[in-house]
Amino acid sequence: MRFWTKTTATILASALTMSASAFAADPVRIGMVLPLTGPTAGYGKDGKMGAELAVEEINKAGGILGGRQIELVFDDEKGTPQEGVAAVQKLMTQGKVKAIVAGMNSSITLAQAAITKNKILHIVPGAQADAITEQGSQWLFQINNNSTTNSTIFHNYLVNSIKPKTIAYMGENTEFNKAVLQNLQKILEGSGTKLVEIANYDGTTTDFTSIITRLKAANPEMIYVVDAYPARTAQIWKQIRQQGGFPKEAHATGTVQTSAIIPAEGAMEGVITGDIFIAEGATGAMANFIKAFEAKHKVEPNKVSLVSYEAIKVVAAAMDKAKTDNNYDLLAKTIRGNAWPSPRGNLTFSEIGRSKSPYFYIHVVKGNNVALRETFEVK
Amino acid sequence: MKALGNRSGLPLKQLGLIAFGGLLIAGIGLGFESAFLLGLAAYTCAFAIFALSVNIMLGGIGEVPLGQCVFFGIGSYAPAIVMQQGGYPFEVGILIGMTVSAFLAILIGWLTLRLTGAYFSIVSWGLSGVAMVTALNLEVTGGPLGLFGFTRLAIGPFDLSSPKVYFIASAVILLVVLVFLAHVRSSRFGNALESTRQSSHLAQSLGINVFRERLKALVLSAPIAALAGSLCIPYTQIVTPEVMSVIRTVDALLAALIGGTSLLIGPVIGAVIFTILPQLMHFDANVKVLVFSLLIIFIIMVAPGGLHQLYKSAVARYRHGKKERA
Repeated sequence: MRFWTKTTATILASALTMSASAFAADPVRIGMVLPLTGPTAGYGKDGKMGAELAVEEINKAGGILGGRQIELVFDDEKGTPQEGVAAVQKLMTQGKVKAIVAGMNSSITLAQAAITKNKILHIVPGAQADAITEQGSQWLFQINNNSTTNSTIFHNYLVNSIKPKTIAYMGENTEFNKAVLQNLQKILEGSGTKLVEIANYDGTTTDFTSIITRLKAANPEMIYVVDAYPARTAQIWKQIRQQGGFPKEAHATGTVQTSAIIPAEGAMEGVITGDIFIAEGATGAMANFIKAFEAKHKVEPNKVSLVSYEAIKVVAAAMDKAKTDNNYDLLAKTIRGNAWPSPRGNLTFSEIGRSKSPYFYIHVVKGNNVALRETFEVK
Repeated sequence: MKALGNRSGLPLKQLGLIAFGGLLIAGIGLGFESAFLLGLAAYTCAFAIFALSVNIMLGGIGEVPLGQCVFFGIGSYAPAIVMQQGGYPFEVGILIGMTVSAFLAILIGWLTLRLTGAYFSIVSWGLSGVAMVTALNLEVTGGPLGLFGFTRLAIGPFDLSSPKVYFIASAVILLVVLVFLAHVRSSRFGNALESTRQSSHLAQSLGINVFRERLKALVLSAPIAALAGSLCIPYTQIVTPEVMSVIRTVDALLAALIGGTSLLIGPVIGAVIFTILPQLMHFDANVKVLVFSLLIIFIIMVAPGGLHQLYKSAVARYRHGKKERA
């Protein structure tokens, strides 16, 4: 009898130990939705690389929540709201993920945010529209600067430092373009710079010659292009160069990547732009991030890689600090109440979940990349 | 309920099919719990309704209506606008969308349906471009970002924010549309459409006003497309100018072609394959696009009349083999 009691106790104890260790080893699944196919698939590729680096670092350091590893589950949003929503729903129900990292395109992010609202923690890495954090979702956080923040710094820089007397503006008819144009018009009010011509085009436009000819006829001192698609950006600048260019040239913030500069084949040389990230002259945590990224992926990171990396790091650190992967009220409170170390410095989030980059950099295109022109502290 | 030109379907058979459809809806609606699967199934029903609308033109009068997405878009924007701007309920928006699209179809049809073949398709495509640019630039449509943040998406007491309710409502509406179209096919108007499709000159010589019948087909298809557009909102949660994209029509055309344009439920079969199959493929995203595209090409090459053709030829082969053995 005693033998059986002992045996049963041993079996029970080992079963409990095994289940406890199985629980400890149970990975925390994080769902990541990116444009892996479609016209913005480049952003998806960059984002995936950034997130993979973050997960590798966290897991190598022992994981979170007492040794649990992080497992990333990817899905494709294909550049449409219906696919973006399907991907999020799939990860939430079938992927059994504890958090969603999704959002490169603003319209798709807004659709996804309606699904994740009050259901799961949602971190938006790239999308910039102000409306994303204005929908009352308590568990949603935006990593990238919103377009208003970036545009305000950049437009003030153009007006006060570059000081063109006249600007001609051209941009794709998108929400991003609309927000940038409104911001520019507001900042130009009462300044010495005048907006002399505005040209909007739709996404299917391939020949910009007539638009550039019209803008040139207004004889502006500066051309300002607002387009977020790398291939089209390259094409526009090539056509601007073919027509002799403009005395001063600028491109929208956060959109100039090597994927545009290289195919432009020198046509973007000297163009002024800006972003929350620059590889040149990086020190400290940023230099470490760039080095680790290059070692893992054999390419230089860009802004999309950075914000995706940071999104995963914030989720993991918050779960670890709050000691939970599913108490979203507590997780959201923890994210709001703390500063999160990132390659850019400490990230903090406002009450509505909006992050502000500690620094903003003014770039100028040089060779196959951008060079640093000036650094601003974001207030 | 089978095909144009074959209207020997008995009411009993039709009732049996409706009962089968009802049981299928109840089975899926009550048997599945996954919000993802139910939402996807509901969206598939909405997409199937759009494919049916496209097939009224494609299978009905033999035209390729590339601009059908305009009616779909009106159906999406109407509830979004009346909810956001006027504070009216979703159902009112659905009815407004269907009515506006029917009237617009009269106008568009009057202008374009005298053209046939590629000419009609190109003009129709052009109209979708005009609609998309209009949606991009108007304040009322929310411009490029679109309309979002809907607080109540319900039809009467049925709250469509519940995936289960959303699926059952969409599937029942799809069933009603199918029954309605089956009756249209067996009606005098259906006969006139079929003769128009087979030979417009012959139909004209028999006293059929070909232009009027074609116009009636467009006016019938427009509110059905608008209904589909409205039913997609609980799934997409946002209405952007992209709803007017011609790619949407091309997807529906492919669904109709895969399922079979001559079979009433052909577009429904195609819609199921088109929306559900890619979600079941567990490949890398780029490989998935490649495999799915090749599969579509393969189906269209092997069964140019639709997938039901494979079933028909298999049955014929079996019967032929049986006869030979006897």
